[in-house]
Amino acid sequence: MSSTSTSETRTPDGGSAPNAPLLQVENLHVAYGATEVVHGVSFAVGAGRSLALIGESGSGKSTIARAVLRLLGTKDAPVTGTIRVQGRDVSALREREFLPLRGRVLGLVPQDPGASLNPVRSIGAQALEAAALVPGAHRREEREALVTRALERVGLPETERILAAFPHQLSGGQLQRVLIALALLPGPRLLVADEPTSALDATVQKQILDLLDELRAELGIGILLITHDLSLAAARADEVVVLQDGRVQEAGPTASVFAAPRSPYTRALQADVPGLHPDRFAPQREERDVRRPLTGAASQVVASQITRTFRTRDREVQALKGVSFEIPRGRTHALVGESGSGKSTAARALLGLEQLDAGQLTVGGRAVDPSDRAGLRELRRELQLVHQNPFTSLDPRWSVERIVAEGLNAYRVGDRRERAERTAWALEAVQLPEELHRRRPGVLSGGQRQRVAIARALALRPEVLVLDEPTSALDVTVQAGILEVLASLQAELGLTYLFISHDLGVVRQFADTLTVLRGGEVVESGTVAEVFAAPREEYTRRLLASIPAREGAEVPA
Amino acid sequence: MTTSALISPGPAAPGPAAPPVEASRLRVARRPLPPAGVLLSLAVLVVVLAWSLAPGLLTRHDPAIGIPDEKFTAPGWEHWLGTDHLGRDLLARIVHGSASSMTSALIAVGIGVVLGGLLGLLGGYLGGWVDSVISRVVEVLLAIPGFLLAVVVVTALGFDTRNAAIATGISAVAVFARLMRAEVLRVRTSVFLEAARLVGASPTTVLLRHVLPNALRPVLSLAILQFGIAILVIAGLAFLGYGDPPPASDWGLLVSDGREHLLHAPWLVIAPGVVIAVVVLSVSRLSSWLDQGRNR
Amino acid sequence: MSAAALSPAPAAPTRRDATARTARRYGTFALRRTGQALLVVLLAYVLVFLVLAAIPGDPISAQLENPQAGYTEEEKAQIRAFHGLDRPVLIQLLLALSQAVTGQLGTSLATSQPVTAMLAAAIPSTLALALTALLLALAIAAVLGLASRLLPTGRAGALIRSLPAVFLSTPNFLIGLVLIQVLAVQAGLFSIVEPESIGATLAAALTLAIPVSAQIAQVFITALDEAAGQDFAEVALARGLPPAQVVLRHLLRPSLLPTVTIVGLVLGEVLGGSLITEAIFGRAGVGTLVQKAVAAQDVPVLLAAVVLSALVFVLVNLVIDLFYPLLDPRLRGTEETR
Repeated sequence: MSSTSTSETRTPDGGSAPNAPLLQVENLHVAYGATEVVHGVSFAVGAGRSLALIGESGSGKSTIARAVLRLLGTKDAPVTGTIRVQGRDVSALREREFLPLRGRVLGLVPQDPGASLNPVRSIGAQALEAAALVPGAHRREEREALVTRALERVGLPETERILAAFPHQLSGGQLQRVLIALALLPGPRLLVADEPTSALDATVQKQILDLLDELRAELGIGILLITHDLSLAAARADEVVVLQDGRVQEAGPTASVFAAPRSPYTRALQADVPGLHPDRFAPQREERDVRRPLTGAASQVVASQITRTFRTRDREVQALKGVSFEIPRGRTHALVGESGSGKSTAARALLGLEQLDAGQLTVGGRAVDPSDRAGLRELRRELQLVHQNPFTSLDPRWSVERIVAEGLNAYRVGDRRERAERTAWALEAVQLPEELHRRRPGVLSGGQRQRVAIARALALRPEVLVLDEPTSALDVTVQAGILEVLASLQAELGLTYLFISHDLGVVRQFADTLTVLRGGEVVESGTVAEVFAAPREEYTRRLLASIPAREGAEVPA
Repeated sequence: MTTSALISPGPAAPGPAAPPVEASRLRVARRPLPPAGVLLSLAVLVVVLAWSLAPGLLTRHDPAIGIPDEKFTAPGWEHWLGTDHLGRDLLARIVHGSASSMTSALIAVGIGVVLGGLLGLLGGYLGGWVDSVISRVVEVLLAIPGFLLAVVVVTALGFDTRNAAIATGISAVAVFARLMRAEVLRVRTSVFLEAARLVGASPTTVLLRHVLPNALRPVLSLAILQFGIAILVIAGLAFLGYGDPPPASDWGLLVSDGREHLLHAPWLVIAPGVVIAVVVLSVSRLSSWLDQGRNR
Repeated sequence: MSAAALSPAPAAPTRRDATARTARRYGTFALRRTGQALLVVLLAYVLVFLVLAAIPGDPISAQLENPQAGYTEEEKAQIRAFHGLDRPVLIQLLLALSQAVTGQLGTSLATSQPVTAMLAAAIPSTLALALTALLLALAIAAVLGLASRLLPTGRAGALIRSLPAVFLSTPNFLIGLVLIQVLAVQAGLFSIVEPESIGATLAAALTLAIPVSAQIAQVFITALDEAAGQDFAEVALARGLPPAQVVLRHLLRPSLLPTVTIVGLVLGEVLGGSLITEAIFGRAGVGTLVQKAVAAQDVPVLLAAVVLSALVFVLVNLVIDLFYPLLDPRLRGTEETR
């Protein structure tokens, strides 16, 4: 390229220096405005190797990925340090000189496939545009052939249909395959995979990760994997770098980091991964079993043959087909399934938010009837919900105390003083620091917000809590804290939980019994111990196999 | 009138996804001073407010009685903005006209916010046939170009500044109704409303304590912007002669009066015109700043 | 929760089936939207009629009651009956409406000419002005929008982004008078005595276009910014597409939808603004007609001109609505989403 570069390690364009790693990052600093968010991070990725950058939200892992690809606006986010690609220092290159590296040497596999293709252009148009950037592909036929080959390579044989489609007509898994194919077109040496599967269902996740592994083995591509999922990294990466608040906490070969983590943060992080520690909440549950042994009394929650069909103009979707389950008082039952399995519909029906076509739900012996308003109001003193996403379930204009007290005021519980005491009790039960009680949700972290939501549900002292994926929007360390609070509350108060989840690792830690749903039907049910030890159905086995944690668990922990 | 579109955008800075706690702590710790442009806008509005409240204190000249010998004096030390064909001081006339211009814009916005907000709130929250009827009414109001609607209404009511203000307000009802309805519909699907209902909150509580406060903020930010637009529309009506007749000194009327003397005394047109532009610009700058603050 | 959210990826029925169904749905959608649009115009007529019925007195009565005119009671009644002024307002409305539907807009109270003829004489001038203004506004907005993305950020970018707010805040009568002063009087580029000449029309159109372009530009810039913040823009950049091409190939099309919408809506500003612009430049268009009708309390002319504006506005926005599915494939084959 240009001869102005003064870098000594510079090699002719396209060639690679022998022995130099594909990507070498040294002492990288990135700031947003005046705030530095990445502090002196170094790592290297070799050809055909994979390195995982692990960290929770705010750890700087995505920022590092963007710094490597130079996707941060240079003005808003100054980057210092050295980035070498195939031995060549690229940090001093001007924008125009860096351009040929993008795509051709460094490829990106994005986080959210649904948003990563232009929604108003066909896949074909975007694929041909990408093929036009491949050096040497001058004629349209050449480009079409390149695209077809790449799509077939990533497991999309129906190329014609795919190319004619618009992004909204394909599934998330298909879109991610398209994006990988487009990234592969110019023959990159390194793929930066930024949480490539976090927006996908568990079984699809596994397929995409397997595909990336194959490409690495076959084409000798290096992979920089950005992930929050420790077990995924354990299963898929040769080396890991653990980040916290923009600093490297630990780095090294995957096996040794997981076998003997040296930094306290890595140890804590690892201890919080559900898949690696099935007995994490055993102490709380033992205490519960001692204080509140199972009696032979009638079940607290009973669903019998519940059925629900959604109708739109041209089709019907059976969300629930004759689903039954029971929850004994003071125990936890999990409804498990991928998106569209009907698990959320079942939970909403229990709360009286959804009409049933057939079947019956009872709570404490009382039938749930959505058309009986007064009955529902009485029922909900005993039955509360914790929503999935604490960032949307709290009114942003209300203070924490006011949110928690809302139910007490609505039901006119006791006098003013008593309500204040109950509010304080509920907030203490979820261990929310006192100085936050008068603040609004805007200043709270995700975990703190979810504690507020739990306190709101608790304030009415219900018997049953429906937990709708209460930790899926949160980091693992935060998740562990929330689950611990919930487990202790069960032991203390004898609460009955209906726990909705797609994460089998968490279910194994937290639930006593489970029902696996698929397409609105019960696939399998039983105690957690039984089902995990010996899944009877193929679908359950596939679900279990798709948890990266199980493979990671083979690494001595 | 598509004022919701006017909220001027800053450069899109897809900022870093900093963890919420840290970000918010920073915000509490040091609340940064507004940008210079916003401070300047505030200063402009304070000056105009002072003009409206106490015009006599801020100008030495009489707005109604001129000195014939000093007619058509160009802007200078004695008459900062010059004098008109009767020798009246232009600055004095602008200062004394500001109260009328400000009050009428305020009346217009008040009508728009109250009527439009109510229609939008009812339609969005009740839904069903109420919403259908209200939506049709709003569509009809939107279909008639805003300025023409204002002209029709002021024709029916009679020509004076108060009526021009009412007409401007009515022409803005649809814009507010549409925004309020959209906001209510947005808030209505919020998860936190379901959460409130689940802990037993009554429909009235949900509407007044959750929906309204959350929907109102963008409507108020539109109201500020619409204040600027109302100044322009009322000035336009006054320019065409649909406001108070001379010797009133509404800003639009001043420009209209100055037209005849455009060739030899251009300041008579330019000075009041620029005053209108600067005030409206300040209002819109303030509105967009408040709006950005909300989105931040 | 909608059923669609629960269903897996859409099953792929045969292409022909899908196309036929899409076309059928589009047909019903188009018919219904057209019906709605016509209803809105009808209701606008009723609304304006009723508002104007509130005007105290009319030029006819004023003339008839003038003792010097010396009409006999019989003549007065005859003239009133001719203009339909002797009947209750609702009957007047129904009569006028039934005639308006067939294109008969009545007779001017002030000039006794047929309203249709007066409109026909005024429309060409306004049409020329409005079309030129709209084209100018589009050109200015396109330049501002693209410049905001393609120019390096910094002082120039900030200046471009602040221009629309300035344009929008300036009263158009000020713009018009300054243009006349500078271009006609000082530079002599056109003559104010010939308001329909090309030069004068361009100046008038520019007067009208400046505030209108600001609205379009603001929406366009915001839409471009929003598209630039989307994942697909970053991914295209990471694929090696040069930044300028990312703007042209990836940001432009998603930004067109909101921009086209605002173009339809600002048409109202063009029609309303032509009132002042025509007055300043002395053009004999619909705006001037409206102004004269207002001065003379000439209800039939005012009513016709206002409803004509509403008709044009509604029809243009209808056409834009029907074009949405072409711009955004997500809207094809689905029910209207509004």
